[in-house]
Amino acid sequence: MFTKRKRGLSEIVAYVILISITFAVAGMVFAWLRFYVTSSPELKCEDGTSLSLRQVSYNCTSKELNLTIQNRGLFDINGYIVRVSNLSKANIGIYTLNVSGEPLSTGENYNDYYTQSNKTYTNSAIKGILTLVEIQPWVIQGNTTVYCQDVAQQYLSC
Amino acid sequence: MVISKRGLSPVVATVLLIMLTMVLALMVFLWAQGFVSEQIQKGGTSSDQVCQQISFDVDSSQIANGVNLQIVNRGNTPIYNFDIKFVGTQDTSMKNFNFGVDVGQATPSQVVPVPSGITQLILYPMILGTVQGKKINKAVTCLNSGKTITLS
Repeated sequence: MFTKRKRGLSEIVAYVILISITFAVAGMVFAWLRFYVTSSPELKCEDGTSLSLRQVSYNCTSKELNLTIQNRGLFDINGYIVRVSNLSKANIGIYTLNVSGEPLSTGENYNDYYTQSNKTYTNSAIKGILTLVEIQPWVIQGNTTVYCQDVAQQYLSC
Repeated sequence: MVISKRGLSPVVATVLLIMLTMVLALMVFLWAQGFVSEQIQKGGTSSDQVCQQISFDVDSSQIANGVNLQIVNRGNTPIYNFDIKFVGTQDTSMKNFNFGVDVGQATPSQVVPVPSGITQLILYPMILGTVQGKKINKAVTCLNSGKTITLS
């Protein structure tokens, strides 16, 4: 009795091809996934880092702005940015008055002031009456300045 | 009578098979790599993850034939450019605008011409990254980080 034989690949060749395809796919997945497992940590402030504008006064005639800034967060900050706007219905500060600010420990208050003739209306593009002031804290992590997302704002009125 | 056939030693055969397998795997890997889209990174992080870290706020005021934008970058990633999508009642278009906002900075005024019939603007920030494995800079649009401005 004759057994009918079908043609096909040798088993060894089949094993070699299967194993090589498996290795190739594994290598591709490794290379692709490794890209997404980043070794660079995200630059962000600790949760609970925040400043508040405890007191704000603005003199529309003399254009003098006085701020009492308090660190109400859980962590010290190394500085803050002060921005203002002179647009009606403003929701963001668009002119920067100060990029360095002052370092503040938790619970510490600081009195800051800005006038057109004196300290730091360094941005001559600011004209007219101010309508909004905001402060954004920043901290130093390693050698990098990291800006915190928590921004305190106050509308100004004459 | 025993007929002995000549052949390779099993050890040599095993080594040859393993080497052949690894070479084949490498060839398939290099061939398939061409089908994978190039990956862009910024500071060692994939562009997708950098896009998620972008934080910015927008104010706007309508002017004749356009919109005046005010943008502040609140995050720690510089915004290289903006792609702005114009959404209208009839159609939608996207256009690149060559202005950016650095970290901690604000743009007090940026006029964007708006055609008639447009009801919404969607601002997509762009970051400048490098193609992985090459010294080529490439701008990436962060389509998941857009901000919408509704026009009256």
